[in-house]
Amino acid sequence: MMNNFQTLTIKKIKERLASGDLSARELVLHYQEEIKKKDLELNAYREVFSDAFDVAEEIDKKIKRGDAPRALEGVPFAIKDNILIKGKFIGASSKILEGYRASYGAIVIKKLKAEGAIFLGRTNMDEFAMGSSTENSAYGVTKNPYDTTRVAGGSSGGSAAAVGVGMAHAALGSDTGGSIREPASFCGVVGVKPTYGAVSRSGLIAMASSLDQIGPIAKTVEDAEIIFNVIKGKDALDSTSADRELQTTNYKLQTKVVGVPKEYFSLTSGGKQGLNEDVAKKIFEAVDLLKARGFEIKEVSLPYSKYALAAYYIIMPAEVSANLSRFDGVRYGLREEGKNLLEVYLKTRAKGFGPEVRRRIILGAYVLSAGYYDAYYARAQKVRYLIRKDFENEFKNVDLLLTPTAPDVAFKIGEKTADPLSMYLEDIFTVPINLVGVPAISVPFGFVNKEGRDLPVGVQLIAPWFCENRLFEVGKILEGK
Amino acid sequence: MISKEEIKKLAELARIHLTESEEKKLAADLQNILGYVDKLKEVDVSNVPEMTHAINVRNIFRADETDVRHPVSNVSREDLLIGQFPESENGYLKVKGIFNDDE
Repeated sequence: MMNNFQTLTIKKIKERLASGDLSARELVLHYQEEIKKKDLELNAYREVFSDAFDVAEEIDKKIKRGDAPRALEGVPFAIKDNILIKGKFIGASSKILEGYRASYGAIVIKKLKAEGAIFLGRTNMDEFAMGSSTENSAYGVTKNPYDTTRVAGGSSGGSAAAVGVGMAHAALGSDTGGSIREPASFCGVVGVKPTYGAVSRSGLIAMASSLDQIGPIAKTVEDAEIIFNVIKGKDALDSTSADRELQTTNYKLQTKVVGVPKEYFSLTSGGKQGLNEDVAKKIFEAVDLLKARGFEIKEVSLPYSKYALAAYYIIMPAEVSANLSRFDGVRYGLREEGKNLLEVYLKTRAKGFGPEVRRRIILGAYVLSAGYYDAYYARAQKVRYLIRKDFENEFKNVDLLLTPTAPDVAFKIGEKTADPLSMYLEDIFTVPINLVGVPAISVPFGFVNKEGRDLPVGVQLIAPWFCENRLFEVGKILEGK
Repeated sequence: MISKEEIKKLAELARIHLTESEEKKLAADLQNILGYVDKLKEVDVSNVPEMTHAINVRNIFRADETDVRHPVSNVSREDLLIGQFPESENGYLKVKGIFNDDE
């Protein structure tokens, strides 16, 4: 029979597997064909796994035997190249990890597997998740499925493009300052950055440990919700994973008041970048839609958010410089020979790390160095406290916040590579959320036409700590439009 | 202004060898980024505590016992790890000499 794979959802896959009207083998075959057809041009995958068929056949056998399908039975996933799958190559799109195989599996991978997910391959990203376009990958840029002269966004650009163009049903990404939401917005898919601590980071290659979270990238909000419910939860191997019950299933409508932070519509930062007018129009359309659905809309104020990106570019590189010291040419991956240990370090790290990674490591070393700590790092951590206070205050008045995900639609390849700061400003709307630790979702909301091409726009919804359910609740209303 | 000497020193601390042209480019980039983050100086942070984590976390302790469920104590993991050491001997990680004894 003919299958329309683009209209499949996780629920439909489950139903059709159970009724025998679709097999896991057919699903894998379909996505592998799509990858063959499209990925040569897009470069979303770094590797396609050869064992996906074996897993699919196991699943088909189990279902034939009469086993009830699990939550993600037969769902083909793409996995970002910084989430460990035991025995598979893992590289964070960096030369320094070339040839390295994961010696254990991430907890999220174990959880997906236990619910019947199939892994199609690992996806391209900015090196060590540092970037907003995948142009910092050591293995080439991932192109935007809607216009191949534009970026897919980053750092989880490969995962977002794969789902956006139908080369995977769903994907995992990681988000430190917007790395799930921005590419999701650029590729017209749903992306979730969970509450800090909601999902275990065990088996995620660390970038900035007080900010990193793993989250789903999916075609629909419902799919993203199902995946989130599988991967969430306390884990002994990540001591920052939170030991608390998340409100998720069978909730009743919790959101009544939606706040629109006025500062987000005037964040021009250095006169360099404001919100694109056409994108702003779409955001106000989303606001009007919610108003028409009976939500109360309130203008709110988050005055310290304008300092978020500056605080982020101190805190994040500081954590990066510590986390990436483990790549030393001694334990794994690339090694360059030298006459003593110091020379091995210097040469290995010079050859293995790309320009952006070096820039952040050295910036981190600078802000943490003696004499500068109070002026930079300590001050940034204090400003971070003030930014969080703003969110705490406003979440007393509103149930949810609505903002743009990114200041504009996908930009041209090469447009921002010469000036690192202009690339950093891409994350101006997403970075505050990571600093504060609250959850957020990017939901596709129509298109803006540029140079004759329709390019997707994303609306960002932000909920209080551990209230992901509100993101899904209102996200479904927005995507239903 | 970040001096050439400072960049050299930072590169050494970060254990990354830089060529002269890389040093120059990096000094300019860092200057640009630090110029931007300087806006934090506008904020009055007196009596504001440092926020070190996104959520309130406390130290979490466990008994100092081998837990076979943890991958750290999983033998096959060790095999996979050791097999990938750039240099090893009898299952031990081998490193280059730290001190030069040729002086």
